[in-house]
Amino acid sequence: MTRLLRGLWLERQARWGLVLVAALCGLAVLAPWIAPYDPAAQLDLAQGQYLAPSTLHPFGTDFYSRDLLSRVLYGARISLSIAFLSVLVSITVGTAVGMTAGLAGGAVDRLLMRGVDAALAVPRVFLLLVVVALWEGVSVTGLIVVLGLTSWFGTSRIVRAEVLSLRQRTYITAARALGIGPRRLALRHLLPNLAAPVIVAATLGIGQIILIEASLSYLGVGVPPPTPSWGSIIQEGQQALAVAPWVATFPGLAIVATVIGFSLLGDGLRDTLDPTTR
Amino acid sequence: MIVFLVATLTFVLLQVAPGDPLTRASEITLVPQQVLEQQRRNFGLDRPVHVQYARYLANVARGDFGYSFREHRPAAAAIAERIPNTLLLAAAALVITFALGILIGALQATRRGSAADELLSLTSLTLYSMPVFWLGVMLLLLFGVTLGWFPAGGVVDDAIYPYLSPLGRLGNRLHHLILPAVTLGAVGAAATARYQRAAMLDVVGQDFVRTARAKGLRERAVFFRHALRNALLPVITLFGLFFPLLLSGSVLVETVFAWPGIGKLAVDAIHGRDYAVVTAVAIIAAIMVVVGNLLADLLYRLADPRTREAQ
Amino acid sequence: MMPLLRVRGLRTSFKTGRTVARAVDDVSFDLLPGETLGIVGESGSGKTVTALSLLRLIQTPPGHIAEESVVEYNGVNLLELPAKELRRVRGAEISMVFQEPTTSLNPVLTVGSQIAETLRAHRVISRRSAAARTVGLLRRVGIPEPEIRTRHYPHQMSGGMQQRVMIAMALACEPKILIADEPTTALDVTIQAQILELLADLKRQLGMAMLLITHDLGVVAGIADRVAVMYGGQIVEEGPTAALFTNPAHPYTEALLRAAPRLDAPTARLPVIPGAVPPATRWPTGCRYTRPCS
Repeated sequence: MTRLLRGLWLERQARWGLVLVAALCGLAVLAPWIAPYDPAAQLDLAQGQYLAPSTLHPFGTDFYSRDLLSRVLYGARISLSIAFLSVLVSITVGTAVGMTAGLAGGAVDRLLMRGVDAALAVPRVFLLLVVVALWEGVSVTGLIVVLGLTSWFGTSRIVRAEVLSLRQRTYITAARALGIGPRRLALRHLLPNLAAPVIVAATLGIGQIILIEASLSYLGVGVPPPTPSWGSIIQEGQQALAVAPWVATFPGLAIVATVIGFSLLGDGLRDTLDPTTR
Repeated sequence: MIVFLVATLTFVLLQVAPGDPLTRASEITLVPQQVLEQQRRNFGLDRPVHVQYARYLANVARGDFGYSFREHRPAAAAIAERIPNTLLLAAAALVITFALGILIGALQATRRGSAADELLSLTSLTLYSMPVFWLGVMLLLLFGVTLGWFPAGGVVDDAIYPYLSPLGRLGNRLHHLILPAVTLGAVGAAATARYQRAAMLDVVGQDFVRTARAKGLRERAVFFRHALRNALLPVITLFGLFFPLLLSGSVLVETVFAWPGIGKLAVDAIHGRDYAVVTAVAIIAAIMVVVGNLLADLLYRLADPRTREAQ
Repeated sequence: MMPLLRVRGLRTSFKTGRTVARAVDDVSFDLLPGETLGIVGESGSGKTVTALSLLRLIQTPPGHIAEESVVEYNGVNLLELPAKELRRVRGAEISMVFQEPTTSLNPVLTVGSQIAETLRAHRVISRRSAAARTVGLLRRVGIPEPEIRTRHYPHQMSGGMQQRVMIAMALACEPKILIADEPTTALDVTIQAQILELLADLKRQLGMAMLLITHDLGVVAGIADRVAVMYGGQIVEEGPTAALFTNPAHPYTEALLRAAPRLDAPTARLPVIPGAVPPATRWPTGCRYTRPCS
């Protein structure tokens, strides 16, 4: 583990990724303690609306005189937790499907991969839009599940490829010759080797999911109000673009920073864990 | 094949979702219970599921997507009206994506390692990490609100459009098209540039480029006719991948800029519980993706003679 | 007779990281009009780099041709020529044929257009005449049905045919010198003979001088007037072919000749030259071919 961190630290871009991600996660976790105000508190409806950024309100206030910085911080909590959990779902399903396809081979493999290819062709936001909307607006849990269930396709392909290549390795053949059953084989021998590419895919996937969740929230079908999500804040901000541009700007910057962080981290992990893909 | 799957999937989802279309519709406009019952019978919603499914498929095949309660007309009509706008936007965005992406990627390759190269890579990464709708909002903020150069939305200025000359009309349209098209195309351009750069660097080291130089060709000819021509090939494969992204993107961009296309239609329909339209849009979108993929495939065959059938 | 090509003190090196590999280290030779000079050596001897250096086809960086090097063509130093003038020489006065025809031809352009391209780059000629001349060239290098073949793509041809196309391309503007870098190495043995015969024929017809680079002594024996043997980036021996073969002066040449398998004296084991070529980054001082004497 320390070796991994060291490897990441040495590569300049990966270092940035690590720093950004660590900082953002830290902020998200500590939000309840470092946020200056309650994100839902409407502080002063008479005079506190759309205040420009100042020392009192570093990010300004919104239409309901809520402090924007606090909202963005809590938004980080929401968006990051949703992303992490969704990715968890997605890599679980993706690994399961990928392993099955890779190990079973033949018709099962072909069928599964055809399905995956078709699914990859579908526009994700579109699909999610339709799915989520039909359920009358889902709870956060539902959102996590749905996001996870629509994001596993890429992971399954990666896992399948790895499994196919690992199958050829001699230690697998040796294990089979010793009579080790397929389930044990999968869990004890294949899984650890899949860890590296799956972790890379997961890290990069977090960034993607954050973007998608933000898009859904922007459109009004993501996280339900008044829970702050970066996407919905931007949507609110667009209404007041001429009057209070900061409302739309800051959450967006947060998103960009987060996604860049995870992208750099993901690339760095890939280079460190699997130098053959350089 | 895919279209069929999508249609089925949509149907299944609709069935599984709580309530039925009419109940939803009644929440928007107050309709007495008897009328609801009457409508239910009319639309066959009281029949068993498999019957409904069969009717549904038959209808879809004929192009009848059902009735939109929200707009008080057949869903198909609403779609037909909006599609050209989306296609226009998508086409403009594609042009931007590829023209910009290829140029920048090729440029980066020739100046590999330079400050310009690093800067452009950084810009690409940032664009790639941005939510498309936020880019739109920011562009709107900068160019629409602050600088006032471009309008905030819509396809044309309805007030003055009818009075403009044909050239003026074209200008007005372009004026409105630029910001949304740039927004939609920028992210794709960033991805394309990355690919193109890698492809160029790869090609430049290949033998036939050396042959071209040895023949005494001008550097420009070597670059365009030999290096770039070949470097374009992997980038063309991106073309097919972009269609689903364009569709997703257009949902967002159309919402940001109030562009009356099928993306915005979908969002409005969803908020308004207009299931007929939602179904219709889903199916149309699937068709568009499939067509797009076919086009991309065709384009690739044209470009790379090695993929063509034996003569 | 005035030499067509005068090479003096050619030094080409490559910088990788912090080490410098001196691939060509003080090479000098002459090429007379109409003669064939064979440059023989094993891989790593620097023969290909020499050929590429003549037309300045080395990537700089990481390559570097020393300033004192002289490559004189008809009295003009090619190494100091401005790019525009050099382009006029390439392909029209001095042409080159490469080792791997499959990768040396542009896969997305037809064979005909690639040949015509050479013509139109150096002559003022209409598209139609260029196309007609292309067909003629294809016929001349022995490609059957040239009118049809000219519209084909490289991947539709065999290796031997691709090499013929390369030759046609190189000869399009009737150059004075043809540099052939291992033109037959990538081909079947039977095709090799055909291509070599073709080269000899064309050379005679056009009165060209040819620089033939190869590791195969057999090739050189049949076609070269003079031979230069390269080892470790230097020319260790040079002379008329027959004389060199019967009376080699340098131990390396001797060893090469001995190592070549002969049909008329079959042996159980082929004599091998012991040891390996030292790396170009660390040439030994003094003779580079120090070997235990047999």
